[in-house]
Amino acid sequence: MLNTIALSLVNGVVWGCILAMVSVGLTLIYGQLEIINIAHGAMYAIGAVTAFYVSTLLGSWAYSLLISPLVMAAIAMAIYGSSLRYRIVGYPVAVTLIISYGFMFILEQLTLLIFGGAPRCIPNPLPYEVGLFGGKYPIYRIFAAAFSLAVIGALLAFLGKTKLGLWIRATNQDHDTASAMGVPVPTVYMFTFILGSILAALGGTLVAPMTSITHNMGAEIIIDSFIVVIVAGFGSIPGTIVAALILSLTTGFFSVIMDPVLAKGISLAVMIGILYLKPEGIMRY
Amino acid sequence: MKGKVLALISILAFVLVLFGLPGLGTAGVKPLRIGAVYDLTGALSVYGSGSNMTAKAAVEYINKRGGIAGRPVEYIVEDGATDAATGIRKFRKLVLKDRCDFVLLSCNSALAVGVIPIAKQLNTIIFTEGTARQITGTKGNRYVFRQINNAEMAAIAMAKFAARKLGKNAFGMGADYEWGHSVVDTAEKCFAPLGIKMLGKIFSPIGTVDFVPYLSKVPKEADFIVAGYFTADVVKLVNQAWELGLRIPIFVGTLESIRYKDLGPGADLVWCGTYGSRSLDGYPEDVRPFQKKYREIVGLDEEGWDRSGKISADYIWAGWEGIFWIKKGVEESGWKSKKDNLKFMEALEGAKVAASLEFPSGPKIMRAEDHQVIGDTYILKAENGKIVTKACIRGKEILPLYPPNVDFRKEKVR
Repeated sequence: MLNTIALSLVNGVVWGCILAMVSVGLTLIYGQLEIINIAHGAMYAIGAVTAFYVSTLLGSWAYSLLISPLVMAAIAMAIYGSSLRYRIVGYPVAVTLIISYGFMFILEQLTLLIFGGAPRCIPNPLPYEVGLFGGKYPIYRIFAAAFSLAVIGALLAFLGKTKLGLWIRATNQDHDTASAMGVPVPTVYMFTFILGSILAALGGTLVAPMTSITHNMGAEIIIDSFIVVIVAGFGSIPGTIVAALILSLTTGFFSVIMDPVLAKGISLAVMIGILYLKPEGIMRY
Repeated sequence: MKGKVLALISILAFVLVLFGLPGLGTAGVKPLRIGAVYDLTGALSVYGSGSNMTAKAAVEYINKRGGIAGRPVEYIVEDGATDAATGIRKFRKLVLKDRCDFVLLSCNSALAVGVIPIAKQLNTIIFTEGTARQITGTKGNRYVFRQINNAEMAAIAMAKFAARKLGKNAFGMGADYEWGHSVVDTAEKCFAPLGIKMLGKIFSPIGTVDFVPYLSKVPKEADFIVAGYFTADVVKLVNQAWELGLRIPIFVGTLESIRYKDLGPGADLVWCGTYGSRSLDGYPEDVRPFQKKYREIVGLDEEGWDRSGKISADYIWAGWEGIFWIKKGVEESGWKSKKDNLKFMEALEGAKVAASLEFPSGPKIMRAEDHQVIGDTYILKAENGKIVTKACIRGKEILPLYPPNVDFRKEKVR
């Protein structure tokens, strides 16, 4: 029993890290642009579908870690340039919410058209197991968690140490003053939207060898991502990591001792409890 | 005088165009409208797109040969989006706005369960591909016909086969909705008399990302898993079971449009109890020639893939046969309008059909009491890079094992 609990907790950490990376993308876009990006799940699915095509055509999944972000950067740039950039400052959040909802449909249906409705899968790029708490655990999953943490770490370093990161933080605090100080605010907005979208695509790319790839797989993660972002405190990256880990770990732990569906219910109740105690979210920044 | 003749000819021509010409051929006859709620998007889109493809092909085939009882057929499809609430709304639209005479429903069992009482209210006969047991049981009524075997029948065939090949200890896993429960619960019921013990069962939400918490509940003593999952969930389950080191057979309820290679390294452990063979050579000899002709018409190859290579043949013949059940009912009952619905029902209740181009999946009976088709069931297996057919359990073998538990004939019809 203890071994099973330990394995479930490890599994919870793995999914928590991936969920954190995807949710950081969502919170980055909200914190900076105040866009509730409903299309984030569809972007995650596109990351997985791109990984499938890269893996099939080039023979190695590893290339998709580079190609998926590039594909998503192009898509995000098109989305932003075509509509969102005209509707950010001075418009209610509902406007961008509706726009992103529309893009969710467009992206999902385009993916269905190209990819088809049948589930596909990518061979595990690291088909080895490691002995863990008396059981076996896939090494690839550990890699996926480590990669997600590395990406989040790199993002935090980028925001904290680079000039562009400084611009992003400055624009986040007060875009009018930042603009008066010479920060190219429209470019910062576009870059942030692309960066957040890339994190969703990377999440899909990492998950692709662990699950089945479908045109609508974004629905599987988007709800959890929103829960994480709300509980974390809108715009807080460290809070997002903590909230994602709490959600995944509680689900993992309780699923050992009870029906996993009930376990999910309990983990959501825990999240509601946190929000009750800290309505502003786990962390402010 | 010349001017008067010209004027008369013009008027005559005008009157002919206005009233006469539509009377030529079948164009003046009121068309028969068949609606369909198929899931063209969402998790069940492979089923919906496939059934839509074969139903459309059947309508084209019938219209080229004079229609149904001399009436051309109009086919109107709506996307149920794999969502019962959306599907119910689309069903109402097809009946109330488009004035459809009959409606085909997708394989979404929840949709069928929701539509059945409304079909009765709206006096519209429906044909469903949903395979949850209650559709032709306690949740059914006289307005619903099911032109495909159901999950309970597949479970009977599966249990008979599993008892011989897979062992004595099973574990049940399924999607937490009508159909998932049907597969697992019925399997459990069928296993007991055959000496197979169900060690436990667990249900997960549709679209579960990670099956590890569920798979960790599978006891070491289990010889095989019975899994009531479809499409993406099957692929996830099989791959993640392998990742976790589980090396036992997994018996699933459908493999529609799933390729061998997408089942991953554990593919050869996958079995399936379903309603049709994927490859042409998996059909019995008395069925194969008709299946071959049907595949040529709808655009399926002998391996069972459509021209896009995205939809497989296992299940989607139900769209084609649904149209031909309507044709049979209309022509044999002399159905003219919904006032004749009772005659239509009586014509199909107990109807027997032989394997033919109209019914290319094999001979079957539309059982009078519960409007459940009794046809053949197929045991498929992933093997050597392909999905092969290991056995065909004929409908006549299943019929005595599966008695009806309702009799719709006692219901009054408007």
